[in-house]
Amino acid sequence: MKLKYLTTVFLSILLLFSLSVSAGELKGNFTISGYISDSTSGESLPGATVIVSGINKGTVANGYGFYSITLPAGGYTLKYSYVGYAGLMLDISLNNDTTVNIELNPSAEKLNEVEITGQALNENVTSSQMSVNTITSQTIREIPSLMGEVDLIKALQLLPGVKFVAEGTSGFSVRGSSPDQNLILLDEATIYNAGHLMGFFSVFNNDAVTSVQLYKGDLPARYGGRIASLVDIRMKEGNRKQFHGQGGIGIISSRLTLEGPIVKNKASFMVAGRRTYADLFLKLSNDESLKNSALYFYDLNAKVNWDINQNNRVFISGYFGKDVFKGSSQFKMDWGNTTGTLRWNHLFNKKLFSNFTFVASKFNYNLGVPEGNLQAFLWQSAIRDYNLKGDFSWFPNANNTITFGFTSTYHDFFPGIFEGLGEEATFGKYFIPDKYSLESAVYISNQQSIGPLFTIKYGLRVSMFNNIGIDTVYQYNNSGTVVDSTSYPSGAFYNTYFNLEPRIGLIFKITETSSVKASYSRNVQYLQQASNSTAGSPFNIWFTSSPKVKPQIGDQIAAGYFRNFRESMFETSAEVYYKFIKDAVDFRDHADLLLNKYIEGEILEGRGYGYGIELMAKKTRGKFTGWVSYTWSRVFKEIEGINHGDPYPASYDRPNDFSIIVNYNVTRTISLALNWIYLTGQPVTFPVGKYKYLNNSVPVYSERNSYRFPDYHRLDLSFTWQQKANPKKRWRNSVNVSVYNVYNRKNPWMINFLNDPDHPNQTYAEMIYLFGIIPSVTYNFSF
Amino acid sequence: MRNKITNPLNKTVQLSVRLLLLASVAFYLQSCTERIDIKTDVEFQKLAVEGNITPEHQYVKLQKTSGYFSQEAPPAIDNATVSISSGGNVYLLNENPEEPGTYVPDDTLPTAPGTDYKLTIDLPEPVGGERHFESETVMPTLNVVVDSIRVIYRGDFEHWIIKLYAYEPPGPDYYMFNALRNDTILTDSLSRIGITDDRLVDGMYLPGIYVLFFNKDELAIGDTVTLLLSGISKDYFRFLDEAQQELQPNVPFFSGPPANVRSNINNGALGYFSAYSSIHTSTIIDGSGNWE
Repeated sequence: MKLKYLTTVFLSILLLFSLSVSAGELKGNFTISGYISDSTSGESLPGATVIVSGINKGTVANGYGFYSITLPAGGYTLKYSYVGYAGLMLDISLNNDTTVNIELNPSAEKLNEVEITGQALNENVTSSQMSVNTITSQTIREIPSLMGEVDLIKALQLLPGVKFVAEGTSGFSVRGSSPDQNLILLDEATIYNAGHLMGFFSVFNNDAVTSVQLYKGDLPARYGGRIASLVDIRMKEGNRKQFHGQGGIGIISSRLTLEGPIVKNKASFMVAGRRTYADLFLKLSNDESLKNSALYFYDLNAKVNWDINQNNRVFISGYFGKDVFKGSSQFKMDWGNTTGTLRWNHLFNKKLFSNFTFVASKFNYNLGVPEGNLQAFLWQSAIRDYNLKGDFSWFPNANNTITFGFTSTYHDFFPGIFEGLGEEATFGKYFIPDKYSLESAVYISNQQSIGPLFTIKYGLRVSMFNNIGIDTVYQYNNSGTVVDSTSYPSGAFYNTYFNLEPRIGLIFKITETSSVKASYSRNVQYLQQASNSTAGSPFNIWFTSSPKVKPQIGDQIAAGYFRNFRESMFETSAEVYYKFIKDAVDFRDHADLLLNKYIEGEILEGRGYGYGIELMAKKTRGKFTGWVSYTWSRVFKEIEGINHGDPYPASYDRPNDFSIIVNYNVTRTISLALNWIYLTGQPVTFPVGKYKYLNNSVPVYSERNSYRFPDYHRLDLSFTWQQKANPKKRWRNSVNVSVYNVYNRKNPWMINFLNDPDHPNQTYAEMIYLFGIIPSVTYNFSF
Repeated sequence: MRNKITNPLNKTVQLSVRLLLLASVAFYLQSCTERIDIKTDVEFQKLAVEGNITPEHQYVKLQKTSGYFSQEAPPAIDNATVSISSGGNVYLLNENPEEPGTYVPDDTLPTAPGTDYKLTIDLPEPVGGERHFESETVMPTLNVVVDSIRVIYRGDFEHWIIKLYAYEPPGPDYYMFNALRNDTILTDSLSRIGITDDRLVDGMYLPGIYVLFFNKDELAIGDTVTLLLSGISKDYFRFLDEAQQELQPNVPFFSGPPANVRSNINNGALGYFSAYSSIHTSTIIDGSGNWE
């Protein structure tokens, strides 16, 4: 059977791994291990590097700041470093296993160049991962914002290969894929809808976040389930040394974050809240219906962590966010995400680190007209996930780092219920039962150095997806009409998919500051969003693979050249990629996707492919910092039933994408920031003809996406004043003034083709644009 | 931003969500509209048909599509041979000299539920490379039992609303709503017609659901209002729904990509040939009980 075959494959690979590793296992070797953290806050520093001087070996701290390196007995000099921190050298005489916990000092002033130039990192050149970008919350804060709301998703949209899906929204497309092909994790919990206020603001409060990592297609074997990207967002752990706070007051929202030790150097907490108050202005309105309306969102992040002892650490974190809209007393809706993550780090020994995670998360929405009103109804929908996983990092010797583990998620997707309310309900009940499924995987991956020049990374993820009863599965004919159905009892595993997902990467270090990398990865996606709109709304439901809907399989090959100059002051990279998606999902023309029991009849499957080149140059320190990126890419879909089965450009096909992001520290207290972006116009379908039907002109369309909107471009500026640091006063004020769309470019959000009400035979095109020039002011403080 | 409220039930729900979200976005953002010039290809021509067989009206209109931004109405097609066969008889349709391109039968076609109609069109000149076109449609059965209608005025919406009281039979059904004010059609264009499926009200007694909406000045006290409730096929419902979607402004949050509206005429022709019957129910706006 297939399962047995896969198990054999997996076990043989495991055996191969242990063989390749045991070749390096020698008697008389000892291990140096420990955690690397920030000296001021005690926050761990994932990705910090440890280099053994002279012998060209080293390691990288894992996601929890843990490192381990095994070397023959002897004397060594270890160099610890991390971007933005002063490096540290440590002489060690190794004759037994040693624990060394390291605290690095943040380089006090980023203007002070000398301090950090000594520690050239070249992490981007040497890292085995390619197609990855990291942005810290500090960088995100410096980018000019829309209405004063600092937004990490909008910062990601400025990176090469990443584009917004509609202006101002937090939906994004990575290398031409659709937004539901991005896996967004907040402390390991999947966020199904990352937008507040119809997506104009993201659900992530930047003050509660340390950093964001974006993996474009080449996901570590540890992650899977989406074919385009992984956005890994980590919440702050909370300062372990002293109590701190920060916050801000903006034109639409206020924020406050508090963090500090519970037990000094052992346990700490972080709590961050945010609430908009734009609706308070509605109260001032003369219009009665506006006065009684409400429109706001809030969110809360909280995290507690505790070092039980050197071998055990526990983290508990949660997120709760909600959007509420009330139109007078007649209409109400709300939606939001809730997540909870429990993590336990356990060191089995100096070489084997483990982390066990349990996540529960929910996204739901409710809308309706409350009882007592005419046509009262309630419409609800929800997604619930329960995930358990174990991740292991094994550092057998200085040449190999092996990660392996398992994950299993139980999905409960409730597409929705609609019911009339009250004794004289005008509506009946329309109920679509829950869909249950289990998504699991085991994986193993090794990063292996072969000589001083080569590093290879190879891994395999074996994923499995089960549909579970109780359920009724419908069979459809070619036009999407139900022809038959099959029912399955509660608990029955009635459909299973298995997939092997290999991930391979190779780095060739040409010099200390330049390298060539190549990678191949396969990702399989079992969940997708029922949305064919360009912007996405919170009411789009998600649906799973099933006997009818095959999982989407994405293959990506990529190659790149990485080169740093002037001790990593300038980092440059060039990457090319090609990706192919099998069983890409799309929807029939005029698909009926809301509240439809027979939604699978609206789904079409075909193929998608895309390719591109991404260039980036980044300046990491000095008075001027920032980056310039240019991407040229194409993406197409070919689906039976759309565009006569001919290939057409996908909605996110925007060949030219240029962005420039600059931050200029004028003085120690004043900085200026600028960003300018340029994108080819969105591909669209325009009418070419019309005919009359019942006195209206019905449009007749061109081939799918054969026209384009005018090109998109926009300039934003910001000015930040920050009070000088004063050792005697902890309170620091800062003020940010941002101007969005400085030259007031009218970028179309939509172009509509309408019947002219005054001239029955005439039709016209009308452009809608959203944001003109928008200035904003935000006051921030920290203590 | 212009919006219309025409379709009841689930469409009302969707529309109210859209309206309110748009309103919410509108206070937040200074969204603006502006007419723009766009050039699209015009080297494109197809036959378009509007054909209806009802007990009251029987006609087939033929036209050629025109360029989208053309200032002229799509040109009518004269001198075509149009016939409908039904129940073993063939009925010839002749062009109405008053209305070029509109073909009407000499003898009224039978309109019993379940009657099958086969339309045949032969053009004097090929359009879109074809001269011969065919279509087929069946008169659906209408099982709904109408109790009564009421017309109310809602001040908060500033709209007149027709409420329907009726027994809706179990099983999937599709309806079209039209209305007359003193024998003049109010739903005088495709975008004003009400359509719905019975997804949210299947098999229920309908206790006054909103089926059609009219502006403040379109009705007045003393008017006789007649509701025409028609039972239509699922495919015709989808045609009307798709066509109405294409007439409405798109909203990136909700709208899928624009797409051609279906058709039930062969050889690449556009439009629809349909058959349906209607229940007529009247009421007089007498000023009592017309406010809610």
